[in-house]
Amino acid sequence: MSTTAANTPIDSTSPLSAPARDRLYAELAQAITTAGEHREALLLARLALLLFERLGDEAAARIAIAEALQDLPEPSLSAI
Amino acid sequence: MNLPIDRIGDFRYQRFRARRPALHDGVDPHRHRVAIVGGGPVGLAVALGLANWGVASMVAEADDTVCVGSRATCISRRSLEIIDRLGALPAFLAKGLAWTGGRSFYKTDEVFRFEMPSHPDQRLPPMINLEQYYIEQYLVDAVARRNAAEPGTIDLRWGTTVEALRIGADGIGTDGIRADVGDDDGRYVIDADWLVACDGGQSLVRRTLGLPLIGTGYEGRYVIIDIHLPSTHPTERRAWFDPPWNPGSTVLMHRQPDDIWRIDYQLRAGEDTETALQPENVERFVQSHLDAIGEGHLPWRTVWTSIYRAGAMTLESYRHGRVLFAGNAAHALPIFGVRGLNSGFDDADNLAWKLALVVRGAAPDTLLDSYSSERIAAFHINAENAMRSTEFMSPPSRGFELLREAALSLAGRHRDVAALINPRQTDAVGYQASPLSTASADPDGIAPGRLLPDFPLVPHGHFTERLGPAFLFVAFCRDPATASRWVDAIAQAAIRALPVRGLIVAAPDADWAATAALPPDWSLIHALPAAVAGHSGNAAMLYLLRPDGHVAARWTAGGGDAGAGAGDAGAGAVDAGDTAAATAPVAATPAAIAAALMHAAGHAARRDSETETRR
Repeated sequence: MSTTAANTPIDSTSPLSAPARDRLYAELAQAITTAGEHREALLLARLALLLFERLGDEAAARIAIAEALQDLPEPSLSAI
Repeated sequence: MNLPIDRIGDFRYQRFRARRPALHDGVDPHRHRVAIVGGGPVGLAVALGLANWGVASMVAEADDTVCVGSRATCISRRSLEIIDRLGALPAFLAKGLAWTGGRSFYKTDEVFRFEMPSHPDQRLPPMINLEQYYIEQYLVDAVARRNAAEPGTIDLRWGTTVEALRIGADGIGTDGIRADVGDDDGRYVIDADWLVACDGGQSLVRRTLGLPLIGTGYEGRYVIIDIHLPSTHPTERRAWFDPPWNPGSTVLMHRQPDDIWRIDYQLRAGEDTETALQPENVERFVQSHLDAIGEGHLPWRTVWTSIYRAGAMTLESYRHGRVLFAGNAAHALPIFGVRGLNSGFDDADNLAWKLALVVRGAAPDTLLDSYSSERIAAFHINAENAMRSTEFMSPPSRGFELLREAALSLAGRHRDVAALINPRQTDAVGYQASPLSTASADPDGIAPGRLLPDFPLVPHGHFTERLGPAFLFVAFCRDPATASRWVDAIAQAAIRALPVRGLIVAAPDADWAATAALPPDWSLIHALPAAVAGHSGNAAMLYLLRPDGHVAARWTAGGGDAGAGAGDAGAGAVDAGDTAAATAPVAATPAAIAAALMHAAGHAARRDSETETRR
């Protein structure tokens, strides 16, 4: 795979510690599993709305939306 | 609903006969200054507004009575202020039901409550509900009163349809309009200097000129059902999202006068319009809804049904030569947030004074271009707000559906997320980029283009009652010396053909012995110090208001300092968009005031030596 502008790694300044990130990853995974396939989209939509309010930063939220949409693959590993 | 109805609730329909003048070879011999196509609320508001300026008009209305059904039932505070100036307010307030807020439910839980801005000091409620047939009838009554006082001012021709337009042709040159109109006795021809198309969403004038509406249409369809229901529930806006008794649907309910309740509900994708409106389906829907809200035991019957489709579309220009468009003929707005007729009243209010000045020869016809640009800018503000409401009430795609359910289901516990449910009811729109505004560097007070907010007077009355068919200077003063300097400057700036009035607003305890000598067009009024400060900040402030209440220019007492002379006058009149030019406050000299007044009436900025000679 070649390195292009679209997939240039972005340096993060996240204050999350590595263990904290791992815990959140697992916790959200559990929540999605608990919600079940028919409710996973709604769960993630609610989560996004709550995180917008927590973040309180429109520009940062818009960048995150754009990043989430960029290079969004067809589900393969997670195909239902 | 095919037979002519004679009453809805307490409302009785009067039928009006078509009236036509004695013709000369099939032509109405009176050339009309203004012909208005459409005698709905917007057409009648234009006619009454012109009449305030002494300009007569002819109104052609295709029907022989006012409309059937509640249609545009919510009237905003701003519209009521306009209706007041048209001489029709008491009837609206006596019959209409005032309200200030509403509630939204997700399934069975109340998840959001909103209040529109409202204060006991305000003379008018933020909204009243009144069926459109009453709205139209009260305006027709105002027309009758106006004609009784000044016969022939508004020639309202019922049962008269405009069938064809010949613009700038056939013997009347390019300076007028010739129209073929028809009534029960056949066709005849009318001539007019100006034509105002207020003939609604299906505007024949618009189609005749081949003018497209551009914008966004939506697939979401709403059924409107008016029922007679003797409920005592208070007047508020209630919205149910996904109620268990009608899963997947969105239902709105409004109280209206005469025990008539308005129910709007969204058709689901694939649901057939005609099927939904079949009486047994309406019956089942309404009964299940009333049962669920605890009113199923009350007797009810359907009085009117209709279908509504959302859309936000506008003409590219509301002026085409001598043809002007207003209301739904000019634009379509989604009902959510009630900006349809309310923006139509604002159109009429903006247009009437400008067209009157042009007809009277007091302003160049280019003043009417500012009607178009200001109201199109207002359309985009209205459309933006209405779209947010519509995207919520009638989600246009999967993403909007998903986020709506996410927001509704969080709203009960998360008040910030709940703000997304706000129906964003209409509010007064300012004309921030108006070509009629004189830019101002003053940071305090109300900026040019905006409406001067209402405030109570001492001992009684309200400021907005003082607006009338004139430009209005409003001086918020701390001392008589400043007031008399401004009064003198405005007297020197007087421009023939532009009527001007003045108000001095002072705190009740001020010493105003010097004002005994106010000119006849001036009055001294009192307001509480907080209101004076709220409108003028820390300094005394002079506003020039347009006849529709929007600020055209403002000056502070210290602006440009006492020594500033007439040489500064030209700096006042700049394009509103060119804010960089307004770097320093300009003194309210006679020259600066004259320049701002001429500018507000659509005259290009001129030197003060020319102002007296311009008509």
